[in-house]
Amino acid sequence: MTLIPTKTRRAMIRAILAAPLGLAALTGPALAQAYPEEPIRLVVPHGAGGGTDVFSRLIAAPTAETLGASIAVVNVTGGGTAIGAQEVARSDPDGYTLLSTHVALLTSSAMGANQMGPDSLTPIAQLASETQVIAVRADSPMASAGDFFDAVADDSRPKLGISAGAGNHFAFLQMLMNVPDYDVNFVPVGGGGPSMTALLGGNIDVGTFTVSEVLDQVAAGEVRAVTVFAAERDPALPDVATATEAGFPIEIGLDYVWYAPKDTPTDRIATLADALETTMADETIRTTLTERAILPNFLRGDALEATLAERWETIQSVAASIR
Amino acid sequence: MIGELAASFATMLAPYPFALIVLGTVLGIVAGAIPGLNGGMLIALSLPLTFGWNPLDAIALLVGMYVGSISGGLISASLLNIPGSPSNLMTTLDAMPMARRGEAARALQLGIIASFFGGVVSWMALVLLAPPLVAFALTFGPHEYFAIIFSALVLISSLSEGSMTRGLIAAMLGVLVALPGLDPVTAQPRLTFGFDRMLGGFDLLAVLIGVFAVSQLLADAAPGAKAEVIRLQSSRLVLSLGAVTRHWVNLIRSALIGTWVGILPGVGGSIGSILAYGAAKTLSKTPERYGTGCEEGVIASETANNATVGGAIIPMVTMGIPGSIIDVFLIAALTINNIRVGPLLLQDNPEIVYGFMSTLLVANVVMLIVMLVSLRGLARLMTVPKTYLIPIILLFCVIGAYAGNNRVFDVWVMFAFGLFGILFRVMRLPIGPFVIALVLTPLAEFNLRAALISADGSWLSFLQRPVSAVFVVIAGLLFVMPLVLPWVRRHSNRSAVE
Repeated sequence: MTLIPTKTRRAMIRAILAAPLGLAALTGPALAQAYPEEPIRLVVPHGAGGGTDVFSRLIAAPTAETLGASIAVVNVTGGGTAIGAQEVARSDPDGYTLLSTHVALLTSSAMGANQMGPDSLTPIAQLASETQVIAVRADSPMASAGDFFDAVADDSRPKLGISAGAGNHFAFLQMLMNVPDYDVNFVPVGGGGPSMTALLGGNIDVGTFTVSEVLDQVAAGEVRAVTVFAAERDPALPDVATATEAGFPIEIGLDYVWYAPKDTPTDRIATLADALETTMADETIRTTLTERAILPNFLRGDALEATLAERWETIQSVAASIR
Repeated sequence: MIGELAASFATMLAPYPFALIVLGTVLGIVAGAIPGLNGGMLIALSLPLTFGWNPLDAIALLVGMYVGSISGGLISASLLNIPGSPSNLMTTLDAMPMARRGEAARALQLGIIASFFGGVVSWMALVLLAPPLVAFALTFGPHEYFAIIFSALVLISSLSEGSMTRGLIAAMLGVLVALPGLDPVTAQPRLTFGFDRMLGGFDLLAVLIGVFAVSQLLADAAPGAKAEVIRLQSSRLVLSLGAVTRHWVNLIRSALIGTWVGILPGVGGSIGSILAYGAAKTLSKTPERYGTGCEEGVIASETANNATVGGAIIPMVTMGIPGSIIDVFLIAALTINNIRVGPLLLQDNPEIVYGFMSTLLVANVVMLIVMLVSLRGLARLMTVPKTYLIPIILLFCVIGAYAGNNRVFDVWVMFAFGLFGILFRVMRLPIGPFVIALVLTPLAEFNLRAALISADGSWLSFLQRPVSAVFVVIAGLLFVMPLVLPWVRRHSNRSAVE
C-alpha cells in the first residue's frame, strides 16, 4: 500500500468510485430505447398487509410480467404517506422508482405534511376505485342518506370516527361541504379497521369506510350500510341506495393511482401505462378485484391529469375549511 | 366443537403442516432472539411466500413464527442484556441481573416455562371464551384505554431502583422522544424542525435497538472494556417442579393480564408484559427486589407477552378485528386466498378458526421443547468470542432498524440512540423508565385526547364510565399507597410496642 503515493491513491479511489456513474452516463441514451432493464422499486407508503399494500402487490405481479422486469414492492410508511411519497419525488426520474397510493397523497399534501405536494410527481395511471360508504350499528335508527344529513344538522351531535387529516376525515368533510351549520363530533379513532372497532363497540355513531371494509360486518348483520357515495349502486351492496338517489349528489371514492417522479421521460410513462392497461384488461385480475369490492376504473393521459387536478382542488378547499 | 377441534389437530399434526409449524417456530425463535429482528419483520417477509399456499399451511407457518418470535427474545434478554424484541423489555430488567449472578440457565428455563404457560392459558381463552371476551373488549373506548395505561404508568412509576429523580428524568426523556412526528389528533407536523424525515417520528424499534443493543455493544467494544462473560452451566440445566409451581399465583395473574391485553386491539405484547410486571411488583411483599434479578419479574413478563399471542387471535377469529400488528399479516395471508376474515369466519370457514386454535397449541408445545432442548447449544453460543459476536449482532441491528419501515433515517436514529444509551450509562440514568415512557406515551396521549374530544372536554367522563372509573380509582389508590403505607406500618408497630 505504502508504495503508492497518497495522491495517486486518492485519484484511484476517485476513479473507482466514479466508474459506475460514468457507466450510467454512457448507457443513459441506450436505456431510453430499452426500458425497463432493471428491477423497478414500487414504493407503497402504506403499511404491509393493509388494503393498499395487498392491492399494489396484486397489480405489481402481472405488470412485472408484461414489462419483463421485476417489481419490488417496498412499504415506506410514516407521515400519512408523506415520507414515502417524498422519497419517490426525490428519486431519479428514470422510471425505476414508482409510487402506488390513493387520495392520501392529496390529503397529506393539503394538510402540510407532504411539503412537496402532488405536483412533485407525474401520474402514470389510475387503476381502480373503491366506493365510499357510511355505516352505523345495526341497532341505529339511521337508515338513509336523508337520516344522516338530518342527524348532522339537528342537535343530536353524532360522533363521527376519523383519522385526523386522512382519507376518512376528508370523506366526511366532503359530505358535509354543503351543509351550512353542521354540528358533529369528530372523534379521532384511526383508519378503516379501528373505525369499525369503535363503531361496533359503540364509541362512535357513524363511520365512513370503503365498501370492502364493511362488507363482512354488513353480511353478518352487525352494521348497516347507510348510503354509498357513487354515481351508481355498488355491485357488492346492491340494496344500498346512493346518496344521489336520495337527492344528495355527492361522489366520493378511493382511487388507486400509480405515480413516477416529475420529469420522468414521457415514453417511459407510456410504457408503464401500457403495461398497467394490459393488467387491468385481464379478466382474472378484474374478477379478483371485483371479489374484493374494488372496481376497475382505468384512466391515463390527459383524462387522468384533469381528474386529478379536479380532486386536488376539492381536497384543498376542504382542507382550507379545517386548517 | 370438540369433534371439529380434534379433527383440526389431526390435520395440523399431519407431517407437512406439522413440519411447517416446527419450521415457523424455530425461525421465530431465531428472529426473536436476534436483537434487531423481530416476529413482525419475519412474518412480513414470509407473507408473500405463502400467497398461493393452502391457507392452513400458511397459518401453520405464520402462527409458528408468531409464537416462536415472542418467546425467542428471552434468550438475548438473559444472555446479552438486550431484549430480543420490544415485548422482552421487562424480562431484561431481571433476567440479566440473574445471569450476572450465574443464574442464566435458571432465568431461561423459568422464562421458557412461563412463556409456555402464558401461551396455554391464552389458548384456553381462545377456545372456551372467545365470543364473550370480544363483546366486552369492544366496549373499550379511549376512556378505558387511557385509564388502563394510566394505571400502568402508576404501577411502574417506582420501577427504577435508586434515585426517584433520576427515574423521573429518564421517564420525561422517554416522553419527549415519543412526541415528534405527525400530531395524532390534528395531523400537523410536531417537533419535526421542518425536517420531513421526522414526520414519522422516531421509530420505536430503532430507538429500542439503539439504547439497548447498540449502546451495550459499544460499551462491550470500548477499549479496555472487559465484556461480561455469561456462563451457562450445564449442571444446572434441570429445574425442579417446585421451582415453577411456587410461582402459580404470578403465573395465572400474568397470563390473564396478557390474554386480556392481547384481546384489546392496538395494544401489543410489550404493554402486556409491562402491566403484568407492574402488577406483580405492586402486589409483591418485596417489591424492592424487582429489577435486581428476581425470578418473579422474569416470570410475569414472559408469561404475559406469550399470552398476548392467543389473546390477539381472539378478536380476529371472532370479529375480523386484528388484535395486533401481526394479525394484520395473518389476515392478509387469508384474504389473498379469498377467505374473508370477519364475523362470519366461523360460519363460512370453520376449518380456519379451528386451524388457528390447534396450531396455536401445537406451536406452544413445539416452542417449549425446542427451547428447552436448545439450552445446551445456547451455552456453547456464549463461548463465541465477543470479537465475532458484536459485529454480527450490530449487522442485524442495522438490518432490523432499516427493515421495519425501509427508511435509512431509522438506521441513523438507531446509532444516535446508541450514543444516547451510553450517555444514560455515564449519567447513571435508569433505562427502564425511559423505554416504558417511550412505549406508553403515544397510546396515552392519543387515547386521552380522543376521550376528551368524544366527551366534549369533560374530565369527569373518566369517572362516569364504569371500567375507566375502576382503573382510575385503582391508579389513585396505587399512587397514594406508598405514601400512606409506611405511616400505617409505623403506627401499627408503635401500638404493638405499647
